[in-house]
Amino acid sequence: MRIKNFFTFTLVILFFLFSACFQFKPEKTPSFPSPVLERAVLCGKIVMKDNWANPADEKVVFIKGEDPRIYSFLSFKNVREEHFLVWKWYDPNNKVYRLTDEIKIGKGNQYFEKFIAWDNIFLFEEKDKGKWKVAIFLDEVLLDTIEFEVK
Amino acid sequence: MYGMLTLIKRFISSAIKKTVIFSLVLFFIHPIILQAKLKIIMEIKGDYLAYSYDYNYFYGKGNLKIKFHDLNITGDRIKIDFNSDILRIFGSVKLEIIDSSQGESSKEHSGDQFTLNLKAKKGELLIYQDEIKRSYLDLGLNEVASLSLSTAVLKEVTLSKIQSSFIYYTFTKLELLEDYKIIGYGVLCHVEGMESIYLKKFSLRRGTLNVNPGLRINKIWYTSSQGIVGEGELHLFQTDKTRSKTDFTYEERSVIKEHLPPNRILRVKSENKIIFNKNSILGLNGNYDSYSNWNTSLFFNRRFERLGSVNVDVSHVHPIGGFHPETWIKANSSFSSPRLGSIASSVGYEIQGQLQSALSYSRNIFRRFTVGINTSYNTVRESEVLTRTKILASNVSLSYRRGYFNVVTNYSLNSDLISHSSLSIPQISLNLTGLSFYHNLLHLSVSNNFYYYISTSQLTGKTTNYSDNLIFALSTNLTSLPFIDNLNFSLNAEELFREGREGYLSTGLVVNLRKQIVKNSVYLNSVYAYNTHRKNKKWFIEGTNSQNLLTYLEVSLLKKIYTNISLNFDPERGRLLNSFATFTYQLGRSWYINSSLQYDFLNKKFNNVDVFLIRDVKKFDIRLVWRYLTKQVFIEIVPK
Repeated sequence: MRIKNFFTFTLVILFFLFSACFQFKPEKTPSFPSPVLERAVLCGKIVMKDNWANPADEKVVFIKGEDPRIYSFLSFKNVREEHFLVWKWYDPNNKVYRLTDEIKIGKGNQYFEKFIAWDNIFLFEEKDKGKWKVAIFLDEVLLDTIEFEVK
Repeated sequence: MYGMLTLIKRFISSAIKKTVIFSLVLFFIHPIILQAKLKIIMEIKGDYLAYSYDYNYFYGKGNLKIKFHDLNITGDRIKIDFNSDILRIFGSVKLEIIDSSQGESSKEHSGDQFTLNLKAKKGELLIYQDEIKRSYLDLGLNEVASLSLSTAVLKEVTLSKIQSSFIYYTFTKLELLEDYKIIGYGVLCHVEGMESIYLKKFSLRRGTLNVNPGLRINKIWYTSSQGIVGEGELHLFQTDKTRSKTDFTYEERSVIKEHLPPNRILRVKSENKIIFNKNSILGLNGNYDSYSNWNTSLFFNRRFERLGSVNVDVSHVHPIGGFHPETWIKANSSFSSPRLGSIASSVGYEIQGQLQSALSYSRNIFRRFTVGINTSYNTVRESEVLTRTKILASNVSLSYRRGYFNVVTNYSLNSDLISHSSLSIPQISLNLTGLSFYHNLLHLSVSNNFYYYISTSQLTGKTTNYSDNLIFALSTNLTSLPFIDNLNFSLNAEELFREGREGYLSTGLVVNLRKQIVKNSVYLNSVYAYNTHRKNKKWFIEGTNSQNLLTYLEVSLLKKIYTNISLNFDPERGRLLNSFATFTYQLGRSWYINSSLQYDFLNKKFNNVDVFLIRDVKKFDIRLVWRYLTKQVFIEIVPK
């Protein structure tokens, strides 16, 4: 009998101790963001595979004479509305080298599970050697930056 | 009257027992109640926050509000690598410090990207306009000198990576405590994609720093082999000037079986420090176990910037197993400077008459020469388990290096001052290393070490001996050969001569071939090894040799399938020895099927046939194993 009472007493204490630790519906639940930047890479080529463009030769060091172009490739998922992308390419002196027009991703209220976009610059001989940077803006808000080197 | 007293006694005894049991239940369930409340150093609120238990990465998106100490940050997207304690926030970043007395913003900065080192409490704010504007700030938003932030790993912190984790959490509010414990609010736990129910408050990661005084029970566990096992730590004071940490471990049945009985063991290890300044520390350390082994040490350490350090130590050792307790007073010092060289000394005196002393010195002279001198003198007093000894040891060396060539001369002397015996060894080494020929196709190194041994003792008088060791290594790596993609060849030979025309010759030859059969998919490899060992003494020669040929085929398809099949062959006797095969198939990002088998041609039987289903979690592997031959199926967790 005593053991039973003690067991009940312990259960009651445990219930009170842990009752504050969980509930079935919290005040605020995480809402999955849209769109989600899945990949942001630099590459030397874009190749077609299964009707999708894919980055090939991914790297962050590009060599004049060997790499004709530098691609900035983005892949989004969960795209629900229209959004606008802008690329800003900066040279080693931190000055804007190239500023793109606004590129639209998404269409109306349509849902896209995956959406890709890319921009590129040509690696001519007169390009400055050193640390370059590309900054990508989504709806005028900085989305991501990638540093790369030109040799 | 007596009956009443008995009743009162029983009541008190029962109340004490219940109180003890209840206290123990509380103690084991909620050890945290014994700790002082930890401060929250960072709070993050946002629409979607995610933390990977596997990678220790954090990602957040949407209406982010961050408070780190007194600094308030807002932005659109955040990444944190908790392994390197680097935070980066992107998009419409605003930094401000709120004046708590007036509730207004006292300092404010805004930009596009802010990267912060959580430990150094300094960050870099970037603005991407026609040019990149950069400013370095501390937590008070004061400009500081430029700092380097290692941010390369932040590229890896993506939502996809976090979602590929075995265990990850999503939530809307995060708290980082000062011991770097992470607590989430409104948490959904995802285990291999399966969601838990919502948890109002959940500890996502235990603390990694010990900051506040208190007792912490780290582990209480039971195993059939060890019984109850427990680990805990006690922090008495933990400030910038003082540290006190005591660790406890308890094993009901110790895995160390040296001193039985008793079987159970309690170990206590205590480290205590008073930090006078960044260069001076006074400390008291102690170790104790319930077998009555204990030692304690009181030390003072003083560092001299760019010069060296001095350590003075008084220690007492109380060993078991027939050894006597010892109390030592020791002083060690080491100093180094480019002009004067490096000098280190140590002196120790034991109050029963034992002595330890050592002195060493080295420096470069005339650019290419290095001179070194070491000497030591040690005495041990006689006891039940030790004999009395007095040993003097000295060593002098001079070396010269120029290009590929290097010569080392050395003289060492070991002298036993009680038995009046000594061994002195003059030595000279000549080395030619890293020589390359034919545009780095052929590499050669040759070295010769000559030792002359002079020993004296009361029994044998003076005796001399010598040995000479000649080592030769030749290797090459050839690529783009006809029919073969890669050829590695290496030849090593070593001859050891001793006095009395005694010699040992060992030679080894390894040839490694690689051929691509199908482009980027199928490779054939072959490794042939030939070794000989020869001993000659005057006219008598004896020796052995061995050969082995290993051939293996590697198949790699679509970055998902990998197979390796090998055959081991004995060319001398013309027979197959054994074969080993593995097959790996990648299922998705982190699941693998792996199988392996080994066949022994000599005994004509399979040694093992195993199939594994593996989940690659960053910190460990979870394996479902099927052993066909022993008819076993089990799950194992293998830490990486």
